[in-house]
Amino acid sequence: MAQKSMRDAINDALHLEMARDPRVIVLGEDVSGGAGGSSGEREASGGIFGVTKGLLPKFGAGRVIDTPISESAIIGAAAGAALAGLRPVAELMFADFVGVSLDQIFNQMAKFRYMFGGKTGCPAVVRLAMGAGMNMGAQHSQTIYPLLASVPGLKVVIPSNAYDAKGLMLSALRDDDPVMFFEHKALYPRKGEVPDGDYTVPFGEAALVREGEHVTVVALARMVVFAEKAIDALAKDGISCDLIDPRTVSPLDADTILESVENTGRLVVVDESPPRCSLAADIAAIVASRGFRSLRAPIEIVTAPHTPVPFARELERAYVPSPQRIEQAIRKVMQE
Amino acid sequence: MAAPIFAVTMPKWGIEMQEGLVTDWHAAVGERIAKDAPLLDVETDKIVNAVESPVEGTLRRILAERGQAYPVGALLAVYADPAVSEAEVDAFVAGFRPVDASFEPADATVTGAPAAPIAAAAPAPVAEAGEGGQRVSPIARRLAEKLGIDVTQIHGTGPNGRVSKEDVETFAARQGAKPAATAATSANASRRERLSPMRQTIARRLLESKQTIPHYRLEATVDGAALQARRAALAAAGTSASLNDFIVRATALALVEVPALNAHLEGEDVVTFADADVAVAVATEQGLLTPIVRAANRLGLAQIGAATRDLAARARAGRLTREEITGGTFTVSNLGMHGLERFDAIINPPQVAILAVGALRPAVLVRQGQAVVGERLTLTLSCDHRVVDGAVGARFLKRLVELLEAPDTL
Amino acid sequence: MTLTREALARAYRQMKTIREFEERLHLEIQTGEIPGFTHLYAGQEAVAVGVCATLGDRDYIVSTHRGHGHCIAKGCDVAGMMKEIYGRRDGLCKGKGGSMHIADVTKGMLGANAIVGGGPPIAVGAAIACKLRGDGTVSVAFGGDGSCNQGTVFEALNLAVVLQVPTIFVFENNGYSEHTGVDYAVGSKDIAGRARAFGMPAERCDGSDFHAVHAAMQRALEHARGGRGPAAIEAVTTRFYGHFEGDPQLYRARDEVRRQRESMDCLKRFRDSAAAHGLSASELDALDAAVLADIDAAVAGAKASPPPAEAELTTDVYSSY
Repeated sequence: MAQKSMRDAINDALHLEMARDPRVIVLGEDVSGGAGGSSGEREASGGIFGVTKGLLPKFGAGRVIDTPISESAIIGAAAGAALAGLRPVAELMFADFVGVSLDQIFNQMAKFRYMFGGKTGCPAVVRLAMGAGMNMGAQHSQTIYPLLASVPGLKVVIPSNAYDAKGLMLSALRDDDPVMFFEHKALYPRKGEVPDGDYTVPFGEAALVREGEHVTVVALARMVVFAEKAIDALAKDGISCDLIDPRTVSPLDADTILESVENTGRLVVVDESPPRCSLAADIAAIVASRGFRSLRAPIEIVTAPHTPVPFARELERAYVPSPQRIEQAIRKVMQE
Repeated sequence: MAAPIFAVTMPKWGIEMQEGLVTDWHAAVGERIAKDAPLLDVETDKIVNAVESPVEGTLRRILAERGQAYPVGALLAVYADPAVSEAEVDAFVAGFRPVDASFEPADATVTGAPAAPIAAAAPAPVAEAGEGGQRVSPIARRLAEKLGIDVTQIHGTGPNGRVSKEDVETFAARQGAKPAATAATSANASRRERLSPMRQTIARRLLESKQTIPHYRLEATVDGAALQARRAALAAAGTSASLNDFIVRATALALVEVPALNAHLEGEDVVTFADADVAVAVATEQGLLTPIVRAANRLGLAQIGAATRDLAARARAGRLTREEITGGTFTVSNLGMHGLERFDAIINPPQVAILAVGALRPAVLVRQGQAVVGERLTLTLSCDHRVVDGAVGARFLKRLVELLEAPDTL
Repeated sequence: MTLTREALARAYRQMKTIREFEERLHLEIQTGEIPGFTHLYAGQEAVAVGVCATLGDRDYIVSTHRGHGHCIAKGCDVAGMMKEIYGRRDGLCKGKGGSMHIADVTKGMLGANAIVGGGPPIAVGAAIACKLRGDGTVSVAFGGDGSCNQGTVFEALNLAVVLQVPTIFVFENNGYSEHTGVDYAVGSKDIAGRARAFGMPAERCDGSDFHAVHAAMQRALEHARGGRGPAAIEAVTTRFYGHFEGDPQLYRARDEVRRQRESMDCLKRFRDSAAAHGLSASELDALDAAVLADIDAAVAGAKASPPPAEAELTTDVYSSY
């Protein structure tokens, strides 16, 4: 099987589905790039992270649409195109730009199906590049998925590896609801085995990344990679963990987490977002209420601090939850 | 040039670039390079592009090789004024400390853990939907494997028919499955491996058989002279049949004559079958498989031979279909090739009997009151006493011996 | 109002400071020592300086992701800026903001901004304060051609007219919104015309000509300070580097920047007319040397400055909590 970066895996999914389904369109800032430039290059960018590369030459400017910097209009246009029968993929570039376009996301596309009595859906995919660690400062580094996971009507997808990213993207493109597809910037170059053909990874089904018996660790996106490191380091001390990657947080596969906690009795949740109203808090609450009797130790959450994302390297390195902090949390629940 | 010595380092293109592959150099040591002149080509997983000379200067050292990847900030080349000595350039190179521009959090290096390569192991693709699009939660899948339960047999009660841990437990309780006990650790060097799902299935079924079926054994010997003579005649005629082919053929015919052994015990019902679907035990690397020669009573020796060879080959290659290993009415386990005198076998439920075949070995036989040296085969029949009485088993075994001692009828 | 020799020399020095600051960053960024995502202002200096030369510390500006020039023109400390860009403890924002978030409220600099279109509404709010104070101060909203397509900018333009507040919207049309050309992305191709449609005077000027920008700003100020509400300027300029450092710029013809460095370099054009304003080449040369020394010192200072202490991570989130 081919080794592919997560960037190329998502690109693969877009290519496959655009070829399969003529209703799929892609729109956003610089998704091809270069329109109006002086070099005459038709595709000077292919997305600022290169995820939409090659789509314009193959599918044309009618379906691969460079937009002005107008996030509200990009999301709103995707919502409208979806109502009118297309399956748009809107690229928001940085997830932080949700701030500019929030109304179109959470008052508009999220609520159409319900408000309109189930008579129409809004099959749009919004792609959001997220995550701290690249020194991009407070307005380009946030993992704001908790904000959107809290909105009924939105599906929220957070892949942690190339294989899942492709399969989840194909599921997203075929889903009849608005899907917020969060791509961690630090994972874009990370390679994994990705089959060439068509396959889907279903929503609402967690992946069991590591199996163990002592502690259940739940992690998302880049934190899955860090949790793997922590868990592998603990193996030498005879501590083994279930590592669960929910992959989608709305819907959330709470059953898998609860089942695992039934076996282990201990839970550590790792989330790159600040702690309040985070996915870590949400998952901890679910387990505390529905799995209370299984718990042998207080739940630990490992998150960023309750601060904006700092710029300086040293501060940002302290901000992002590290494998060592995850390891410490696991050791802590093991002491009970 | 800003300083008498200038470091050319791996640039950072794009936002998440962390390293670049040097693919070509456009300048040689000693050349005077103009500002903005193409100096080298660097490839990232996004683009290939030329690194233009950041300043004007004389190229004194090239430190990055073609085909090698370097992290952002790594020293690729050194410019220096002609007045700067070689020793000073060397000292500059030796003293150069690249910036740590990595994206790792502060305490990324876990104490005591070995340094991990940049590309960590790829996560194994997870089979999302089981056979026939079945959805199984990861914990449920693991539990099923532990208990040796085939998840496809479980009815899922979760969303979209998903099989949950609870479903597996319910199923297991019905089946009476129990997780295997953990082996004690010892000072001796050991290796612990989880049983494969197939091995777990075998273990569960055999344990169930041994614990719940009242086995008894009957033994008989076959004078192999006629069998060997018949095989030799066939070989002379240009066809060949293995000893096993004769045994399967004879077993099938005997089963049709004594159908009480050609049966399944299902709950409180005994189901007897018209044809003998003879399961033939095959050892594979993954474990014992019992592919089935269907209606062996209707097949000639040659057909049986062809069928068993094909099934055995595919069993060892792991390419048997589910139908080919389920539903046998009787099993023949032949360990003769290992030279064993005799052994006994455990019944493969819901079957009610199994035949264990030893080796055809030289032996002192008694023929017409005379001790003679010949060849002897020992057959051991295990029966489920709940449905097969001793006399019935004996009748079957007697008939089988008769058939094998008069192989011309086979 | 014509500028004095001293004011012109100061303007030149600021433009040169911005240029050398950015040229030096372009080199230093390649070492990997500077974290993050940096957008250089080189090429657009005449706009920042032409506008800010008319302002005092009590006037406000809001800036963009390409904000170094605005900061320097508004009087921010160059050494402190450099430290901030290096992510150091003694940076203007303690290393917490970085290149895209430099601010110095004491200088009326209300912040660079990493959200395109994030600044103009903030400028309108600052102008409400100016109007209430009644001291003749104004706010300036810098934005690029890309920002004129954002809904927030439209809302700010309209609100400023409705409230009749003294905001001057300065659109720096450098030809590209990120990687996409202005001719494609701005439907009407007339940014000043858009502002005019909201009900304010607006003019287009040569953004490579300090004197043209300065004059346009004088007219806008006269309007705003006269209590007649906002005004807008579209300054046509260029950027000498990519959207961000590391941008391969495949959308630009290979020689575009080289040609623009010949024809649209505001420093060359300033020098060409300097004699007419009583400034000699040797005076300007001396300023150049002083600027280079300042930048060297700023870089050395930044490199020597310690990183922020880890405890700083959780401070400054609230005034009290």
